[in-house]
Amino acid sequence: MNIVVCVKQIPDPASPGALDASTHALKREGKLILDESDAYGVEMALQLVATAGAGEVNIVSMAPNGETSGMRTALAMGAAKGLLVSDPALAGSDALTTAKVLAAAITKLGGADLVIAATESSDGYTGTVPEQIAEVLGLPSVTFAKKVKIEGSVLKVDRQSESGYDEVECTLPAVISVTAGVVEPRYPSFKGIMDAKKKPLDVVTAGDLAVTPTGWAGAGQKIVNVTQAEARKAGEVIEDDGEAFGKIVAFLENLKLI
Amino acid sequence: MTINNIWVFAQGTGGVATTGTLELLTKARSLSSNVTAFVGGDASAFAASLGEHGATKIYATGDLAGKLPGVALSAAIKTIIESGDSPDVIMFP
Repeated sequence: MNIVVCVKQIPDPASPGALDASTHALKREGKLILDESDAYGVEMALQLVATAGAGEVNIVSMAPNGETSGMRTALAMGAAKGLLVSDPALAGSDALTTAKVLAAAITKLGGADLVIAATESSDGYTGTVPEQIAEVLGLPSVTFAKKVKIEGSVLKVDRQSESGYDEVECTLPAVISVTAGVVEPRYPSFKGIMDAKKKPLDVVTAGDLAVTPTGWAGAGQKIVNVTQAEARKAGEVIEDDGEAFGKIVAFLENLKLI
Repeated sequence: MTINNIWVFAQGTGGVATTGTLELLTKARSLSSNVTAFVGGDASAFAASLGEHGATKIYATGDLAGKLPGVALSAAIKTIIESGDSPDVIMFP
């Protein structure tokens, strides 16, 4: 059982993000960290391989400036090797180009029995890349997996829906996107962190993967404007003078809740 | 660009349109008076509800025998586009 996990490396959400003034794109300079939503996919993959008893978990990522800090975290968790696609020509790439790049990276690693991605990244939120990877690779896709099991060559998924969950089956190889909470990601051990520094992590360009066009030129969309989110208004404090209930009733009536 | 033709990916469960579907239709009708709902599965039980929330035309794949709607619905949309109809926007919940 060989699994490839698509991991995104993002600016630390604990620090205020900044947008490029001309392109409105998120600045991705400096150290990037493993997107927390991808830690679930890495953990899921490690558990599935452990259950299968053979195989390995590999990771692919696309990031600027040869950044590998977030990938090292995934390697420290237990992934075997990584392939980073880093190329200035990829700046401004849209979701479909990203999917083509990641699909080519997966192929370069020799393919996989299962490809895992998060349902969406914590900084871009397009939520479309996993399905686009499946289409590019010609594989079945199951989204919003909250529980994953493999029996022989059959993938069994509890798929989160608006009203509950669907029990879905498909054949392998396949692409799935997993929800946060599908498993509890492990913390990398000290030994894992040390071992991760020695694990293979290759860096290639879009040209190496023959993916073209890329970047702003290949994007089917552009960010035309960014507007500050409206600040939440302060709530109203009602001091109870014995008649506060009347004000609460009036408030709820005004909202047509009663 | 004027948006004249909006298509909405519509879903139902237990014979009822999902909340997300009705919200999308409501938004779509605020943008255009020409709103088409595409249903993966049998829409007969909630077609009226789709119309009340803004759908002016409904396409349904019919019963999918338990399969997820994505592939069948995408194929149906592709067929309709190839027949000459073309959306300005397709909305997904």
